[in-house]
Amino acid sequence: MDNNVCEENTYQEIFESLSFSLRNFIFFKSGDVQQAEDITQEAFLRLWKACAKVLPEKAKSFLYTVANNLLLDQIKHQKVVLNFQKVPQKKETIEDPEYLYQVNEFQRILEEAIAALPEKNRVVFLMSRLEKLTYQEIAERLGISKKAVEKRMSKALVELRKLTDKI
Amino acid sequence: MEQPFKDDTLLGRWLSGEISEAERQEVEAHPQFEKWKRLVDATDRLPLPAYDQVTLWDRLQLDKAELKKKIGRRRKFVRLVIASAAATLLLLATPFILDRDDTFTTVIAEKRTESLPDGSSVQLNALTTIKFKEPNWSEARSVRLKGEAFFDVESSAIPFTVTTQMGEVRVLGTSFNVFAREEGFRVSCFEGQVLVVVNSDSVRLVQGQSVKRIGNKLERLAQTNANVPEWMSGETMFINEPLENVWKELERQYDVKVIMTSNPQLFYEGPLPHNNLRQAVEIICNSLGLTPTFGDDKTVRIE
Repeated sequence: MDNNVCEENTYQEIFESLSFSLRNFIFFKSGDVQQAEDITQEAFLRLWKACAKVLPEKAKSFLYTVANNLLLDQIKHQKVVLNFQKVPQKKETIEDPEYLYQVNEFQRILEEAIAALPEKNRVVFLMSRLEKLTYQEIAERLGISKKAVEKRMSKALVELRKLTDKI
Repeated sequence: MEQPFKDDTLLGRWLSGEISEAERQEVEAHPQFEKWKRLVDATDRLPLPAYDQVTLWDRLQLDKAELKKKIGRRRKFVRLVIASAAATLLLLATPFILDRDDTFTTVIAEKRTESLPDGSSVQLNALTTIKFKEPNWSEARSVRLKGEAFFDVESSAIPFTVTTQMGEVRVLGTSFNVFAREEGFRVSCFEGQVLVVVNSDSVRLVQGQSVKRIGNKLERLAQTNANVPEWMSGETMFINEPLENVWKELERQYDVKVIMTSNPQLFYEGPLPHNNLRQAVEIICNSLGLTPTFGDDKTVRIE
């Protein structure tokens, strides 16, 4: 049987198609890149251990469930701070410093507001906007309905607007 | 929270483009439209943290190699034992090996996810045991539970049964939570349908419904719209729970002993976080006007 998670090729394919997404998923939840990568590694190791019992088409939900659980075990009520890198500025265009300041300030406020969103809405919102996953893909990974994804997206945007109202 | 539109999926569908022309105009006419658009555009420009897939893959290969070594050692040890006592042991052990239960267990303060032979998954709350027989799995998907666990069951024509000392749950494919401890028996359905059986009483639950055993009867509880039980997100929610049951859950989530100096009939309504003992005790005590004292010998005295 070649379509088996214990098969090195299949396992590597799963890793290549899902590891970045899984890392992002945990990062969206906890805001800690290092933690997100450690959890991704551990989740894939557990998939390897359980490879005989997990069908390839179930690997996705297995990984997301395990990663989510690992995070729950680790979280010590840390405050979520999402450390995005600074948006690279185009060097050749000499921008008005006042304009640059406003752009950076807006990004800072936006990041804070995203971090302040309820976790469920934040994760869905970022999976869609930053990872460009379709609602159907998000629904499958989180084990919720597509309609629930649409609702969480709506809520996230309405809440974001409120949280950033001062600007 | 007030909604900008009656249809609470509308904004979400506007973002994904799955929207009719009339709906699009409705969104664009909204006074907040420009702000939403600006926020979405700015979010889209946020860069994700760098990711080095190759390095992570290499680290994973090391982990896997480490795993192989361990399994190799264990195999050698098993061979040695069998060789040294082959004849007698084998004869005696064969029926035992075939009939052996597979067991998942969690200790105090531990939570764990495991997969069952058909790919169904089960998440165990603290101090919980699950037993099943893997060889029988293709005929009967049957587990015995003591404690609390959330099941996400793969669809199949073979029924999936959870047996406890206090009642039984039968399903075909769905997700549900079973609480079966000395304090009582509760089942909540999060997806699909489940059948809960206690003696001669049985109740069919659909998504969002819960049931609790009272005496020899099953009684329905309030509807919820959660996707998973609260304990999986790191706290237990109580609704009008006798205080002694709340302390029992505390003792399962933290390695402590609670001593009540008096025995008032109190009921608690609220959360019990699983990650901060002091905070958990204080939330409960504050709401009931009690005073906790934390001992250094893993005890909490409540006055």
